[in-house]
Amino acid sequence: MNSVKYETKVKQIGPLAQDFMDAGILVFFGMNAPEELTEFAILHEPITQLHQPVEAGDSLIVGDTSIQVLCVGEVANENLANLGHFVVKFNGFTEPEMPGDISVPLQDNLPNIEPGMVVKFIGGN
Amino acid sequence: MGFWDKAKKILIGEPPAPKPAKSTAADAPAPAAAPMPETRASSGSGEYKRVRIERGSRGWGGPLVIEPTSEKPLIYCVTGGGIHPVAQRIADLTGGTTFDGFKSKADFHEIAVAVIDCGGTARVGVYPMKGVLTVDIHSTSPSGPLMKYIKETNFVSGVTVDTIIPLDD
Repeated sequence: MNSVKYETKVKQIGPLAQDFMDAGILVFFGMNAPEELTEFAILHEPITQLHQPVEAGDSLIVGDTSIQVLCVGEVANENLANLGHFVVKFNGFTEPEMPGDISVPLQDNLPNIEPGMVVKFIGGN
Repeated sequence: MGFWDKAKKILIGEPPAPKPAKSTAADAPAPAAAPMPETRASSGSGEYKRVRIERGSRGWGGPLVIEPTSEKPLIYCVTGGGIHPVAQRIADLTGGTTFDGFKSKADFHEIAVAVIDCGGTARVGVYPMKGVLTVDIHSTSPSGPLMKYIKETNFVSGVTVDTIIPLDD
């Protein structure tokens, strides 16, 4: 049975978040992030805390879209738990390029993200 | 006069005359009763000293020389878990004031250095882009759409308390 490791709701999208989306990157931060970071980020409010670390093979659910997690950088879970901060890179990498990365398959168009949408990580097994 | 200038003047008074290296708490003016937000821990005697911050063994960039001033006293920490030991060490050695960026707001022109625990994509670029010297405790290198702002002269990573070198005794 697949467990929900983390669940959160999108609250607002920073005016410059598109700069990162154009590079195939989604940057998420919790609501208490300072302004210079919220400009670039998708801000969200957690519904749950992080129950278990996110790992390769898990699924990232964005609204109705399910995306496979290919790899997770060594500090990604720490930043997610502490700051609600995570970075999803649509780069197809199976080894993380940077220690904060959560990599998912390459795709031309990123899923649509809107306030009110639920985002969650579900265990792979 | 801004709020923090007033707060400093109340707490510190006029800058002291140059002193020998060791100044004890008894030498500093007695702090006034002005309430301090708990996000700031001042070690200020009004004298600031420089440190050189070098990259860690797997880090990138730097070295950066950090010298707080009365206009730029803040060691601005945007890490998980409050004030990181690296930020505290920089403050202890320089006389700067730690500040938790996740708890309160500061003006960029007051920041001597930003300490981040960035995983390599967002915060690494934002602070260099804003003209703020940036220290990352993780071993990251320029990456992401803001990487054009990251230079060896404004960014250093893989930093630990051991890669912070006092320059003034």
